[in-house]
Amino acid sequence: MISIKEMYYNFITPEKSGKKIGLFRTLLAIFGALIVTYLGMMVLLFVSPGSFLDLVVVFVLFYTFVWACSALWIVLAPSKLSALLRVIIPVFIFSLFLSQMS
Amino acid sequence: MQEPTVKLFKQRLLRAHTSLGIFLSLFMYICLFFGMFAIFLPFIQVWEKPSRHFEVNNTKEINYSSIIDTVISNPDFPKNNIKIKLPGYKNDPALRISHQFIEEQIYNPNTGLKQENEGKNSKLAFFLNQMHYGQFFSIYGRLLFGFVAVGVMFLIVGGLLLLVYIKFQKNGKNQKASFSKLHRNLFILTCIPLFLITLTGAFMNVGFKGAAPLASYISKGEKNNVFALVRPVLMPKEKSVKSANINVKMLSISVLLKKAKEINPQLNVEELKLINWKDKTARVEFVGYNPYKPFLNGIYNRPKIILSAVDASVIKNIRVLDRSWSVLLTDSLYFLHLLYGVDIFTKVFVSFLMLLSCFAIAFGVMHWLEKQAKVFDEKIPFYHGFGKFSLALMIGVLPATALLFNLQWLLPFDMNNRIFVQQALFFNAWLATLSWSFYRLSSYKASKEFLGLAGVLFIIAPFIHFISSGFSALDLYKKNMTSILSVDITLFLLGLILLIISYKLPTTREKPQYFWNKKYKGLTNES
Repeated sequence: MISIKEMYYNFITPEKSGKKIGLFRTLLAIFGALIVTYLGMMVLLFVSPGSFLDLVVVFVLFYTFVWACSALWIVLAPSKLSALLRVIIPVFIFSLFLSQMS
Repeated sequence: MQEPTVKLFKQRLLRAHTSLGIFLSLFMYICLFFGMFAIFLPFIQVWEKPSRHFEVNNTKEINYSSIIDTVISNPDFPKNNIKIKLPGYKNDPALRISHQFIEEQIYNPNTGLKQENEGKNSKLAFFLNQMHYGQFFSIYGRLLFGFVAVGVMFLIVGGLLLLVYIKFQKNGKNQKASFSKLHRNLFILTCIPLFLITLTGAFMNVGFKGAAPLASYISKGEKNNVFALVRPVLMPKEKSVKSANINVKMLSISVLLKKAKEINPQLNVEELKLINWKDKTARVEFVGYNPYKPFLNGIYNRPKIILSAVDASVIKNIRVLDRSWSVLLTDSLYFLHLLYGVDIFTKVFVSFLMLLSCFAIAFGVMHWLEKQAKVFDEKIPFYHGFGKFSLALMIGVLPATALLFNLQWLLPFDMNNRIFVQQALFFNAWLATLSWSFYRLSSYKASKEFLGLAGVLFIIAPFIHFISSGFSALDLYKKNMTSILSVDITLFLLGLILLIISYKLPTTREKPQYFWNKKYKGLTNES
């Protein structure tokens, strides 16, 4: 059994080999990226000038692309901790902003 | 970035690209393959239907009123929101009159004769289109293909990053290197249009459904449907006009058409909508496409002229640029995907680019298979089972599709369960190629057989069409039925090309190495 200290150490240091991606990173990239882009695009929606419905159309057009890009960004994080942070910190900032807006 | 992190980054990037690539390769190949047929959907739609096999005379003035009035004066026919599709709309030579509650009626515009609507019994083009975007497996297929599109965008961006970060070999000496080079070079050529097409593909399948949480948030929990929210921007509805219940004589449609053409000569009128017909408040909506402003109209943005049917006065004139910028942006992104109203050369060019993408996917898979191959006795490569499966899917689909085209005119149109039989035989043929590709030890031999069979079937298809429809090639040419004849010629040429490729493919174990790389010097696994 691996001790808690070892698990924590494995979590925060970059792995030796990038040849495997692992379930944690994969799931985090797929679902974490979805949440990050959704909230990020919503922030852009409220910040940008112009007719609101026009911006909604732009949101629906491009959010799949931004999802793919942010999934790529998250999956390439050097360590498991940084991958998690790449999800949590943007979500935190965007949710703060959105809660202020409405 | 420090040294170890860059190496980790590159390894991870390659691993993510490869694993997602292999996972999505077959799905994307299906989308691209059936998409190539979907580009020519208007032509196939006309080719497959006996009701569209009549002489086309473009110079003669069409007498709309005599045809339309006989239909509308029928007391059972509804008087409001009658849709009329003019000949030439989506390459269809027939005049079509339809309404929400009535089966579409099809007329030969030159003779005024009514054609029999075999719509329920002839769904070849519809089936190919459904296979293209996953609708054949209803909502699950559409969502799956939508997610495939998102994954492909991940692959495209990842692939471009790989080109920046990893120095690939330019002149490798074996098959593996050739496959890698072909995969990279072909995709460099096609990545930009492919990206735009995939983006709109994802938008159509998963875009609106996935934005439901946003709709819920914006409407404070009331509505879940984004399309209902943005409808005023994308497809604004005209306010319905109450009928005054006063019978007035209507101006003839030909006169109204001439007036519409005077108001906006750039507009190709394609559809008419008759509102409150024979009433004092009657009006006609002329909807169409403006070929002088490509990329900006055709899908959500359809320029419209509304004229009063009593005195031809202009009620509304909505031009291409009168809409908001988001609609213009949407239509410009959709343009390369739906290719609405473009000339045949652009369509052929885009389908050629998609053919190159199909090859690039195949070469990516073959490169991976070479990497995974285990070599016995230093001579005999043994490939992963995925290779046989992808052989059946990528190449076996060709004879199955050729069979589909043959069955269209072989099976009688009044046969019971005609469409079920046609589709069932298609899928069974495709599955049979799966068994055959495992049975045949040499994949190259199996490919030769599949391509040869597909070639023969594609060559036979136009002849079955000629015999069954009663129109020979010469008849089609003389009677100006060009869209139908062009499909026959294309099928024949396609069959010929497949036969030639089948003849040229290598068979024995040593020859493939030289086939793919003239500089071959040694085993396939050496890089």
